Amino acid sequence: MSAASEGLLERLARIWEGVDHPFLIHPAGNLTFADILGQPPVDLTSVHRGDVVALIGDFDARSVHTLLRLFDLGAIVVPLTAATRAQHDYFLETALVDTVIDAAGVHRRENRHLRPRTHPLLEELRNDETAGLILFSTGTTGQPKAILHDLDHFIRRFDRPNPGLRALSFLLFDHIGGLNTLLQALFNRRVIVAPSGRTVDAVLDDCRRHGVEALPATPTFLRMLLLSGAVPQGVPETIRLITYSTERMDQPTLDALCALLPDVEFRQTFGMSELGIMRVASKARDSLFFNLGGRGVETRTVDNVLWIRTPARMRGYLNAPSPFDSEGWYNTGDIVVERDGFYKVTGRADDVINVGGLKFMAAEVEQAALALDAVLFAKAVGRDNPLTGQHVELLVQPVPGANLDTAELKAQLQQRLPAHMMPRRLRIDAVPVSHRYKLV
Amino acid sequence: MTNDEAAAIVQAVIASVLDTDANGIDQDTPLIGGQAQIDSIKLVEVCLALEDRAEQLGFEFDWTSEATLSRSRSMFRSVGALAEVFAKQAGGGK
Repeated sequence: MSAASEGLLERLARIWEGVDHPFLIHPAGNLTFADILGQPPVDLTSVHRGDVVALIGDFDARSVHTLLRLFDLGAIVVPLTAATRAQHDYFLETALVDTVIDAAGVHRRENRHLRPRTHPLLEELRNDETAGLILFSTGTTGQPKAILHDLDHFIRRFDRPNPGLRALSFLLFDHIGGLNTLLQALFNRRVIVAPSGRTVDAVLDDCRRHGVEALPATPTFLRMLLLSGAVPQGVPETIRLITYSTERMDQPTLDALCALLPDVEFRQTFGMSELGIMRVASKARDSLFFNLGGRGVETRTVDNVLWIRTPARMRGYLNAPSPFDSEGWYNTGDIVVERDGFYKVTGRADDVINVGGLKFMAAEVEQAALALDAVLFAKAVGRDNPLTGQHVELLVQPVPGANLDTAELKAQLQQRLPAHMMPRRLRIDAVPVSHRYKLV
Repeated sequence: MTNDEAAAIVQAVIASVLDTDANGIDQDTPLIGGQAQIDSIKLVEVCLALEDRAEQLGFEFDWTSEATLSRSRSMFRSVGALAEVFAKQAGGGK
């Protein structure tokens, strides 16, 4: 039987036949594929091809089983978690959800029949008779955007086997990265380990106990890891790969890690829900330059801003205009330096600060602050004023236990920054970190 | 707050930003233009320090919004002009 005509559940059952190791090691209990297949099925008789179905769940046997069955039914699935409950009404309305499945059961949304509405992109997907996926962005400004993906595109990358490493994962059920991790594991008989906590000690302990080989992290976590003194002795020998993403990594942190952990590979990841999953390759383990690959992925720069075109891109937003140009290119908003076909992100297009006509990146000011021993986090912003166009304001969070006052900070920064880049207001306080992408 | 009280605050803030004494600064001291002893980025610092001072005094000093600028295009002309806007926003300005 060809893969195309075979259902997902059937296909995965064949992959896991005779294999009894779990695909998920979880503090609340491990999960095998047999656990998924052994689930009493949720009654989906009222769900039809093309229906939009919100599934409020997590990485548990019932949710995963139901998710796979909904895909096989050709539904357009909106995976949600209880953590975003306060926003569910908005999500259900925006995604034009027909049916909600939660722990209590299957609920058809009756009020929808009073105001029948649809969206051209949903109709397009229905006409193509493909299942879909709707994910919500977690932007800090404005309402979350409803991102519609074609499931066929999302699944196609799993046609080719890719054994991979035993990885730690924070398992975001409502996030493209989390679903990708789940499907990678299921299609390739991989093992994912859910951590029991987010502190350096908890993560290292879980890695040690479960023989984790790949650790996805953020630059913030890696800075904390260096400060904790756990490198290199406290880092388990099983770890072969550390990936970092979501914020800009600084070269001194990467250099320090590369020197202290000579046997570990370091790799940058880069992705956005709008573009699906892309393959990222770092130029070298100690390099912040990377390139993007994967089937049909193209890149180019326009005024130093990175643009990407990929066949795995979303169909569009349900509640915002298309971000693609007429040829399907997407403006990432990331300012990059290009060298030999590799890119290094130096900032965001909207992070450019212009003081009296002199332009620089907020990140350059942050890096100068981060280079000081007493500084843990730094956030620089450009603020408009009528005198110099903009000026820099800097918020700094000191390393725990460090004595740092604004006068000393100012004196130190003055030695490292030209006058126009000097922060004109300095604050020492906790630097807020957005809650979900900054995982570890 | 009177204009004179505001002028005293502005003079003290300028002296502190320029790290000098306030004696040579009066209401006619220019803030912008060829005669000004203070450059534009230092003037930004002065305004930010006035924001902080205003916060201590319980009001918000707005020197960046279009509304404020269109009401007083010349607020950065001299110490006295800046003080007048500061006093007005403090709820005085006599």
